Amino acid sequence: MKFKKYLMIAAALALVSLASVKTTMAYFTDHKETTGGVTLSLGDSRLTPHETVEGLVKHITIENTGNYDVFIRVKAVYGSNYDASVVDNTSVGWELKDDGYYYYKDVVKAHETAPELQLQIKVKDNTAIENSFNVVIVQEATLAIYDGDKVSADWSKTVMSRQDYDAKFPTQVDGTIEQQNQSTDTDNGQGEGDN
Amino acid sequence: MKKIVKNPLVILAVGVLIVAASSVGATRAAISYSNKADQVNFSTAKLQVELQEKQGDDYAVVSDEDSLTFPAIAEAMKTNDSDKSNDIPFTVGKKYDENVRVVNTSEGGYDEYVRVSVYKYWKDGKNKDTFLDPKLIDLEVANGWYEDKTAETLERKVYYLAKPLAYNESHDFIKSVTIGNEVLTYVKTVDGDKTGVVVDEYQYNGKTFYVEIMVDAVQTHNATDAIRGAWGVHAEVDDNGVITSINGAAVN
Repeated sequence: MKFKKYLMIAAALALVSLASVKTTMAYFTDHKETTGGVTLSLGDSRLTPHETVEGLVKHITIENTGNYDVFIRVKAVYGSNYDASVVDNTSVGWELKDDGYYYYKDVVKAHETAPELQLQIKVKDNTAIENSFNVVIVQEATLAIYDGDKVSADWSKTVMSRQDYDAKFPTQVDGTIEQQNQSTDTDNGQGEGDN
Repeated sequence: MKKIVKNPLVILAVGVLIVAASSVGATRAAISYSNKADQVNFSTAKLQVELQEKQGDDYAVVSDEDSLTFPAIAEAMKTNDSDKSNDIPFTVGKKYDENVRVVNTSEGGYDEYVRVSVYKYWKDGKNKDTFLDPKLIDLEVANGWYEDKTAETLERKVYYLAKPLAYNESHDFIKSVTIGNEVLTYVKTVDGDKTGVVVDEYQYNGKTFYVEIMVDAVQTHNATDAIRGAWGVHAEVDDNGVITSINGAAVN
């Protein structure tokens, strides 16, 4: 009987103890969380050429009317009796490379215009000259490639083939006949002026 | 008297009474009078941690959905032009400053261990787009964090601060955000609305990259058991309170 009494007292004490230890079973913790996002807007570059002609000099400016930073290049296309070269002491930042394109060295930001390029048109043989001739200006852009804090141009860059694209994004297949298509992301435009 | 004590029901009743009395203590204290001189306030420690984002010159608490504002990106995209078509878009590949830190704001001046989980993913409107690659969302993490590679998934990365974060101290977590140039290669060329015109459709155009940051803090007292109990990982801690390993992997 005495044992039962002690057992009951012990049980009561255990109950009291359990009631008091529940807070020390847990540890002090805290939790916070947050989210945020930014929506991308991607698309091709868009250029608008502006050209004026004074005598045999072409004044060319290229405006980036797209929403993306680009690098630009310009090529003058003309017949074999003609030639074009940069007017001395003008066209700062433009450089003629072996492929016949004039490259502007810096990024042309969205909604900005590159400095003027002045090309002197020359006639090689005046006796063979026609009543009029055309010098066609072709301008191209490629999206500026940012790598951290650096920026560069890659004129040989291509987008993925249609086959690879459809394999990667299978739900995007629209049921039309699949075609293999590879293109660059350059923007081509033409401007011409009579001389 | 002997009879009463021997009755188990009486003993049980006393036991219940003691339990009941122990629970009403707080109520009694609340209604009892004490003047200021006699009053002594007791309170338990309140362990707290905060996430803060640098907005302007100061840091602001970010603890809600969509409260990360990416101020440097917003500033770069801001235009004074009223024509919305001239908005400057986010520049892919460019490293934008983004400063997020964790701060120990505990009441009671306690240090704490800190763990941060980061989730990165893409959304198309309100829905998560699992075809798009979370790896293209690059977050630059500040020095001093140990990444638990065993907890890494395509979307999630988990980081630990080896040293306890002292009371009222902060530790930088994110320093910058960059979206990889690879997003520009996922382009489908389709026929335009005019014959002979083709249009490039960019897969990531109009998609939103999301960053979700979760921070957990736990007490430094009884560190190994506390970390196991709160976070479910086994941590070994040296005499200085620095975590030396997580689940057996050495913390550098």
